[in-house]
Amino acid sequence: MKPVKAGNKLISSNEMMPLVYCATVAYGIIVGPKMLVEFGREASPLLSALGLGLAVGVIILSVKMAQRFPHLTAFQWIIRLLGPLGYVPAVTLLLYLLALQSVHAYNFAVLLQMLFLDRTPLPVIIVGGMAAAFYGVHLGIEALSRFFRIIVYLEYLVLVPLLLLGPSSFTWTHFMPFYPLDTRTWLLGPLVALGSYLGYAHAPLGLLPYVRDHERALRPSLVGLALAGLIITGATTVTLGVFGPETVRLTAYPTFEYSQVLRMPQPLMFLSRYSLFFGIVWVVAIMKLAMLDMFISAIGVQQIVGVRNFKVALAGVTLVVAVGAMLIPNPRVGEQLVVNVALLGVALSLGLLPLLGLLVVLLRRRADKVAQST
Amino acid sequence: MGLFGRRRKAANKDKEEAPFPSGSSGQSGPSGQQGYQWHKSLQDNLQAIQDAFGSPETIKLQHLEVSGRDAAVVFASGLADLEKIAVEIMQPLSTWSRTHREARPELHDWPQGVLAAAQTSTVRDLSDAALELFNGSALLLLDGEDRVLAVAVDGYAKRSPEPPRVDPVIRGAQESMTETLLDNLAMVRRTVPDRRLRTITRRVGTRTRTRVEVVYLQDVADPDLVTEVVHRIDAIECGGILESRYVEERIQDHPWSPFPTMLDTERVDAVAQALLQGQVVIMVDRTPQALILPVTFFEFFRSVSDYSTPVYFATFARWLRFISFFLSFTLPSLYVALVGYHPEVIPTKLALSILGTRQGIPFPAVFEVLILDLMMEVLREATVRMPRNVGQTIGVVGGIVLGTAVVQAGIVSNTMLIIVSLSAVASFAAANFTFAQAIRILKYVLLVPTVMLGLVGYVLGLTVILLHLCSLDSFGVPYMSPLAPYRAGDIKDTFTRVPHFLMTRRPQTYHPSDMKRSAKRQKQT
Repeated sequence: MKPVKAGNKLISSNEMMPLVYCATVAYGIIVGPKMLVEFGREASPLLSALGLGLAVGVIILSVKMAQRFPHLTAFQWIIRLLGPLGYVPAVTLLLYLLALQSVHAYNFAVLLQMLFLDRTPLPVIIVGGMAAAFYGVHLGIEALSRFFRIIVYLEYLVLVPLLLLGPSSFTWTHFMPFYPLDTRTWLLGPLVALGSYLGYAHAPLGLLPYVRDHERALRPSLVGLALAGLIITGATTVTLGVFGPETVRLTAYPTFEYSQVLRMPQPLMFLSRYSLFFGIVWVVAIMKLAMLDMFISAIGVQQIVGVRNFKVALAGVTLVVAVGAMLIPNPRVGEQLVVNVALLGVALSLGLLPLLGLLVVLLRRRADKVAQST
Repeated sequence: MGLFGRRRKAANKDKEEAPFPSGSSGQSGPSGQQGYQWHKSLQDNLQAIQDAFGSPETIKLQHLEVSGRDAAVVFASGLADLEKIAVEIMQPLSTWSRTHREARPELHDWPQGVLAAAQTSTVRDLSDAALELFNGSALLLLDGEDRVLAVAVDGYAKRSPEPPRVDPVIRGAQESMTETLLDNLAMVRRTVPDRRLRTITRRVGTRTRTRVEVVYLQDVADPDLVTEVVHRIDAIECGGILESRYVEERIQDHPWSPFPTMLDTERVDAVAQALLQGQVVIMVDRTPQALILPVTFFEFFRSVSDYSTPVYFATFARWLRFISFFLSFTLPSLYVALVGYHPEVIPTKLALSILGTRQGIPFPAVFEVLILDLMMEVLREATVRMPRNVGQTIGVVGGIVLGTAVVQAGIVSNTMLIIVSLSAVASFAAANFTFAQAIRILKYVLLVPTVMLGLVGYVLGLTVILLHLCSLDSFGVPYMSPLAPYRAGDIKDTFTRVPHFLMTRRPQTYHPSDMKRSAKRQKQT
């Protein structure tokens, strides 16, 4: 006898908080501080805070927009808005997500190989990571949201003490002076910061149909963003304070470098490298982002291609992402791939789509005239 | 065909072959007696019983005469108490017969005024007759009556309540449940003497027709939960229920998960506590453990003794259990990851010390773990199977001798011996034995990715285990509650144990109908 299943696969609005948090404190914690310090130099913590303000605005807009179509995912409402032509941007969005995930999977494997697994081939690391992500996503959004919530606690438990140890190694002159920034930096800086917060603003757009009380989704989303903002602004401040803008520009991953140079108080010296903890947080951060993106992509495959079974769609996504990651020869090619797909989307949306729309309107008018005459 | 399909087919096969269907509607009976209904003739009925059971050594018959009419008492040898038969059936009937010589005896009048036995019931068919006889009742048949009376005169061997063996406490009640369901229910009723304590009885298993009781507090437990539990028990199709595990695996949400989603306990006070906080308890006849549901992951770190010890120590003990749980399944893998892949993480002095002990060891760290762990598991299994007096000695001596020998022979290192022993001891710190068994399995599950990808594999393995835990439910209650989803009010009795006077509300996790622990009592008084 098959046991009776209890519960459903919808989440409550409160469970949006960890989803938004985890969509942000993933790549944001890895690339955010470097991006910000490179651009804003001594004023980067301030730019980060301003970016957080912008991110709040964007999250409000995206949640409100998603709430207009509470039962449709981004893929569906694009098609609803544009009709059959909407398939073009919907497919482009899906391709963009798949390309992005392939690049993330590749970067994940390269970094892990560089830092921890110098003798393990890249495909083995990619397959290992993808298998774990597949397992997580196949459990459904309910399990993912619970998992992410526990990760929020664990990340705060690990990251906050690590960041709080930073000020003891600060060179305070690294923060001074922040006023010589030009107008361009003041204007564009918050936008760069916004990029590190909201590279994944599609989280509410893609997930709102799975929220039971979607009308209450805004507040938990903002709480998730605020918690993420504290971590990223903290990491930016600490890396700037410890290394200074010039050194941060030279390091690939300043937050990780910070964890490597960190010196613990003597009673806590039971490990020689505390970067281990950061490494663990980092692996999990990329995993959770991969899981979120894979979930949204699998839903996209279901809705665009018409695959009924979620696990089949997910298996397809996993396979494409894994193969895509293995085919990337170097990180530069990967980043170029993402840029190309994004440009394709922009070109299609701004160029080809209006042309197609015009053509459809013309053809319809002509057909109407023919119908009237007959 | 999937595995569930095979299970279903097997269950149906059992059902087809079973002589005593659980419906007890008289549709089938002992071989050759299918559909037999009681006749008015005593001889016919006795013949039917004899044909049905076919073993005169087991089924005994005693003839008597009641006011001039033939009667018979049928009972199972060894299960019914002969003295009770004499005192509660024979003597009253003989007295009644003497005083009512002219009266025409009516069987349905006897339970009220004639028989001394407290518990009687009507037996509908041969299927019911078998159930009653083998539960220690005597059947009373009267010539001219097409019905049969069962009188409870059980006298089978029973065990008295003893101090708990699995979860003993220093302070608190020292009684545990026995194999007799009615005794267990009585102990629970004595602990919670509330009129709203309800039981729903079901007979499960086409052959064993084991009595299963669903126990709950009517105004506290979630009514939907009770309905769901009963519904799942009703859906069980099988030949026999010999132990509560047979029920547990058939009704739990995730039968393939190594983590238990129901809590088994032999302690009566643990059952009472579960009932008081809105959980439902399943008790199965012939099983000295009750099943508590729904449960969360953190329930397995709570012990009844936490509530009878001072709050600081209870909190400390709870944290010790959390740490032990983590150490027990992660320590060997962490050691393999650090020593085999990332020795640079270990402080230099400690690394040198570990390398010193590993000098001359021919195997990689993972093989050391496997050799020692397997030795430990073999010892554990052997001591469980051995006679109790010998087992403990062999366990201790075997552990010391074998441990020393493998280290001296240079097969494993001293450090590994410490790691594996610590992990084994820590696994027993869990407050529940079934949960401790899950930990034993997880240790090996985590070793696989660690061996493949070192620390990264270790983290991936932990991630997968955590994801699995997050996906579990126990009768609709999230397994990781009150952490995920977060229930602020329930945290105080999860990571800490606050004083009793602060626990004024029941855990929200179990969706009790009445959140306040004391509200109804005031109303009642």
